[in-house]
This record gives sequence, structure tokens and C-alpha cells, in this order.
Amino acid sequence: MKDINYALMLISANKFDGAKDLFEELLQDDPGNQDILYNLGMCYTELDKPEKAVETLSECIRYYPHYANAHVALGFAYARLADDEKAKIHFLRALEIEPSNPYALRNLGGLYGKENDYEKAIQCLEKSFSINPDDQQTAYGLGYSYLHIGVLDNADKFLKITIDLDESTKIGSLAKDLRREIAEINLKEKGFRIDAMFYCLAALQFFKDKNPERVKKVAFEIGMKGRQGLDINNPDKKYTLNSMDGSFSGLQLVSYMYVGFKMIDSKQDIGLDISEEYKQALGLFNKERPHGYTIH
Amino acid sequence: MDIQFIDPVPAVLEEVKSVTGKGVKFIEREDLATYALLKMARKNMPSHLIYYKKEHDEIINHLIVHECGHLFRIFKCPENQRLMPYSDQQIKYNALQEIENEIMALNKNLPEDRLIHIINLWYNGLLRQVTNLPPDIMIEKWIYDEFPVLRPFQLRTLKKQHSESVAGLTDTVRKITPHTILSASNIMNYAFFRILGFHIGHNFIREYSSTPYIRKGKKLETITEKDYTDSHEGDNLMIDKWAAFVNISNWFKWRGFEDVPPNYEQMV
Repeated sequence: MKDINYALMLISANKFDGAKDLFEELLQDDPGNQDILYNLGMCYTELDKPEKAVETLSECIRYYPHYANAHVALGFAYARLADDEKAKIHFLRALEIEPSNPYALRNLGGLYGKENDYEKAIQCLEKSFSINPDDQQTAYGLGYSYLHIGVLDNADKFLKITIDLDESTKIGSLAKDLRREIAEINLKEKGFRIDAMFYCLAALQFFKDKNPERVKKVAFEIGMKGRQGLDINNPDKKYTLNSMDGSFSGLQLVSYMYVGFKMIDSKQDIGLDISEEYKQALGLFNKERPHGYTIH
Repeated sequence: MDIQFIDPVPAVLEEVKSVTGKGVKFIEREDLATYALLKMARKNMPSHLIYYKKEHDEIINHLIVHECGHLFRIFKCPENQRLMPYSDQQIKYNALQEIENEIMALNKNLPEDRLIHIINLWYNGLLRQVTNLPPDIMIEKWIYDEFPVLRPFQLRTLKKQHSESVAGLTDTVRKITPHTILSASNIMNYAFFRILGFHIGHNFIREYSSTPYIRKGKKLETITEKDYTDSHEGDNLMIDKWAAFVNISNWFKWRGFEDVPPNYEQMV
């Protein structure tokens, strides 16, 4: 006996192919079932078969014209077919039926974002997020939109939420990349960073008698930490490492990482550009090194 | 010591090959908590692996057939619909947060390092129970019905399992175990042994009389007997029902049978 609950379990485990097969079987016995039609349509979209999704979800809507989530899913399938006009019609229809439907708001926000109308995108996404604060896609959409209009604090806040919700997903990874971009913008906004130069100098001192393995260990550990986002504009020494004693500020760690990676492979792209600060520090280090000095 | 198979084990192993397309390789290993342990072959593995202890007795024949029972159930399900329960650090952390107050209350009685060790035992033990006992019921019924020659070994295995389970009824365990875990564990054990006891004609539930677990245990038994579909899909739905019944639905998740870590074959 086939069970719709098992098909839903397969969806929860992202096994859409198996779920699709099961829903197709279930549909044969119960052709007008709302849940089967809706979930089967969603599976087709996930399996990159948007034409079949449109067909199935249109059927669902034919039976249940006031089913808001089916309109959202149909809109999403149209968006996959690059038919944004029809997608918008169905997202708006879903909102007519259910004005606070968070998925309709999220997807409509996404469409506005695609049209570069970030103001409207943020309006929709903020509303969606207030209803459904655990939705990673909405949080990411907000981070992305705020970044595009240059409101970096908000962008960083929502990207951090995206990562905190689940860093193992593709979106979590994209959010980490965007946070690094924001850190870079923040870093460069202030021009030449004398503090970064001194941190680079301290790093050169620290690494000078360490073997390459040790340098690599420190640099990689900071790199991993950096994937979560390092707060480079806060001077508080709030970070610690397993590979190095003491407490460090965000910029200090970035500088150590930069120097570490440059020592391992000078051609390596570190992501954050403090090349000028590093160059100056290197000049000072090479000049002063014979006499020796201590950086505190 | 090589395993001396008794009938019907060789025939069951042959059937494993026919149903799953892969044979079973036996590997001797001393650091096992039980006499035998199965690792089901994934696509990139040439065979299923059964680890066994050098020192064993005929009871191992029942254990092997039991593990083959798991293989039959899973491999009879279409490949793209096979699901396995799993947990990771995040899931475990979230689960333990749900019973944080109960753990903190116990903290007074236990040193910290011991507490962490025990927390891991609780968590892993309860997960093993909730994800294994439902299919184990169906497998033990199948063994009893299909292989009468194995019944004496089956009874010995179940008695051994039962004696470990009733330890959960003692005052010593009660004092060092969070209520949620103790209650869930005893309710599930009660349902498991009640169902199997009736099936094989042995009273396993005497020790539970006048314990607070009987009412819920009987309810879980009723749900199980009434709603169980005898298949891998049915196992997984029943596991979810058991987890919901004892309030530990968030303690594990599901993933595809093939979605295992790359070093799965080496993990024991």
C-alpha cells in the first residue's frame, strides 16, 4: 500500500525522484487529490521538469482555484521557464487569496530583485521574513538585495542569519562569499589601513621562524573562521585560534591569514585585498629585520 | 574461530545475493559491542560486510539472519525511495537543548566529564532504539514464523536484550537519566517486548508491572500493531510514529540510502 506520508518523507530528505515516482502512482488511484497534485508539481520543478510542473499545478488549480500555495508553486515553475510575466500573475493571485503568504511574498520579492527593483523586492522579502524567519532563501534574498542598494549593515545582518540557519547548504555558501565581498568593501572604504599594515608586520615577525606547516595551519584556520565572516571593523579582540595563542581582532586575523598565504604561495588570491598594506609591511620588515624589533 | 553456519543461514545468505545483487563478506573484529554487526553495501561497495567477534556461539546464526532481514526489507524498496535515519552534531545539539533543564538538574549529581560521556550514551542509545526497534519487531516475527529452527537462538538473543532493557527500570539508572530519555526508552522497550512476547509466546513484560510505562507502552503497541505496513517504507513511517509518540521527532533526520559519508565503508 502506497502512503502519501512516505512520499512527503522523501521530499523532506530531498529525494525528489523517488517522491515523484510515488506521487505518480498515488495520483493514478486518486486523480484529483490536492496534496498529490501540488507535491507532484513541486517534485517536477525540483527535478528540472518545469513544463510537467506547469501541467500538473495547472491541473491542481483547476480543481482548487483558491489554493494559494499551488499558485505560488505554479508561479515558481513559470519562473523556471523564464516566463516571469506568468510567474508574477500567479504570485499576485496567491497574495490576493492569502495576503500574508510568505512564499508568495518571497518569490515575488525574488522577481522584483531580478528586475533590479530592489526597493519593492526588499518590501516583499521583509514582510515574508517577518512571517517566516527561519526561511533561508528569504534571508539570503534580503542580504543580496540590501547589498545591491549599498546598505551594507543590513546586508551583512541577513547574510549572517542565512549562514546561521544552515551553513551547509549552497545558499549558506553563497552567503559566506557575499559576506567576504562586504568585508572587502568595508576594508577598502577607509583607504590605506595603517592598522592592517602593522598587523602584517607582526605576522611577518611571528611567521619568520615557523616552519611552512605551522604557517599553513594558522592561515587555514583563519581561512575557515573567515568563511563565517570576520568583523574587520570592530577592534575588539574577540577571536581565538587553536593554532595560535591569544585573542585577536577581525582585521588582525585577516592580516595574519594574508601574510600566511602569501608565504605559502605568493601568487595565491586571498579574497580580501590588503596587498598595499602587505607590501609596505614587507618593506619595513626587510629593512628593519637585521636590527630586530618587537611589535606589541 | 570461523562461523559454523546452521541451516537455514546459507540459504538466507544466498537469497541476500539474489535480492541485493551482492554477497556478504564476514570480517572478524574484536571491538564490537555485540556478536555481529552489519554494514549494508552501497553502490561503490562490492559486498555487504558482517563484522563478528572471534568468540561467539550459535546465537550468531540468529543475528546473521536478523541482519539479512534488514537487507531484504531495504533492498525490496525501489532504490530511489530508500531512506535511512541519520544524525549529526547540529541535530544532536538541538535535541539535547530540548532537555537542557533535565540535564542541568543531573549535573549536580555527576562530574562534568562523566556527564558528557553519559549524555552521548543516552543520545546514541535512544536513537538506536527508536530507529531499530520498529523494523526489529517485523524481522523477529518473520524469523519466528519462517525459521523454526532458529527459535531457541532467537529466544536467547531476546532474553539477553531484555535483561539489558530492564536495567532501565532500576533506581540507579533512574537517578542519572533525564526523564524524557528514561521514559521514552522504557515505553519503547515495553511495546517491543509486549508485541514480540505475544508473538513468540514468552512473557517479557512481567518486570514492567506497576511501572509508569505500561499505559503509554500499550498505546504504542496498539498503534504499531494497527498501522504497520510490512515493508521498508512501513518501517520508516513507523519509526517516525514512534519518535513522535515519545517526543523525540527532532532527534534525527532522514536521508537517501546512498547519501553516506565517503569513508562509510571504513566506519564501524
